[in-house]
Amino acid sequence: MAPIDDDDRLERALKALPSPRAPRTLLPRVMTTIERQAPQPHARPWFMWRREWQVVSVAAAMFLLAGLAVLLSGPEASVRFAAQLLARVQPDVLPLVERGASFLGLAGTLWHAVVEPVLHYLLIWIVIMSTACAAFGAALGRVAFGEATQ
Amino acid sequence: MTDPGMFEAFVREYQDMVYAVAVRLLGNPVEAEDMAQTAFMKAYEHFDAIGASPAAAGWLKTVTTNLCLNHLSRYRSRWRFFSEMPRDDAEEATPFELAIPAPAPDASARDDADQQDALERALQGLPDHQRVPLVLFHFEDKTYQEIAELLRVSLAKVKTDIHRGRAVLKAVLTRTHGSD
Repeated sequence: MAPIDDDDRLERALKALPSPRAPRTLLPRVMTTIERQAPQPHARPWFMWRREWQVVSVAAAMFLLAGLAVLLSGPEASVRFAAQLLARVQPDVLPLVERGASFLGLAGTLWHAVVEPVLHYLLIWIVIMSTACAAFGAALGRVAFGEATQ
Repeated sequence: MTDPGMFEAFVREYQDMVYAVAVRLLGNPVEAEDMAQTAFMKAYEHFDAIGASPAAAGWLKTVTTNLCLNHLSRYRSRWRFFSEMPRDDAEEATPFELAIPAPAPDASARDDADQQDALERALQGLPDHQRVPLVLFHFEDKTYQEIAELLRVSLAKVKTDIHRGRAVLKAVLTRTHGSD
């Protein structure tokens, strides 16, 4: 048989070969692996959360900070108010609360003298740093987590 | 986030193609399934970009090919060592001619399906250094030059390996096809 015929026949035979079909196990394997590797919602970084959850979390953080600021700006008054409420229910704890209120009064004085003058600057600094972190996180998410188009 | 339903449809559409590339390059169904899975995991990571792209098939082929070549490169030094040892043609052809059963005396049993089966088995049974360039040339439409660059071997070696691989396959064809 002439070599040219052999070559030609091999070409045709190779072209005619049916493409191997994937085993039935491949699709379930891939999908199972993806499910296993998918990060749980609570384990995702903040900038990967859903938009509405980001808004809610920021609002909650602001509310918490505001509450803390109100509490710290007048700790003695806050504690005395709480103590009056408590005394109506449980009179025995009143002396203890009074001592605690005195201590908080001292802490409040220190707060007014040392922390309060720089508090506004501190808050502005926190807001700037949080914004910068969020922006950096969003950019990182686009690049490293495959959101960017190639 | 990637919709699992959409990705499942994507895998369903391309799984045969990806597996075919892998099994022909690796010559091993188990390893081919592993490589196909890895290729789809990479596709999942980039699904936002490639999911609806008309270039998805090409992207998957390239990724699968590279994964398979990387997998084979673990044995690359052994592969080169054996493939570059001087061997005469008779020695080269012997293992496969022995491996392929002689045609049955009954001519009706030698149909096209048998021939394709024998050819596919012979192709998968070729040594890596012959099968890989041959598959890249015949099934992935790569040129000799592209294959040489991809495998980081000389052009002459690619030609020689493909020629030797083809010689084995021709022998299989002749055996399964008889003397017609």
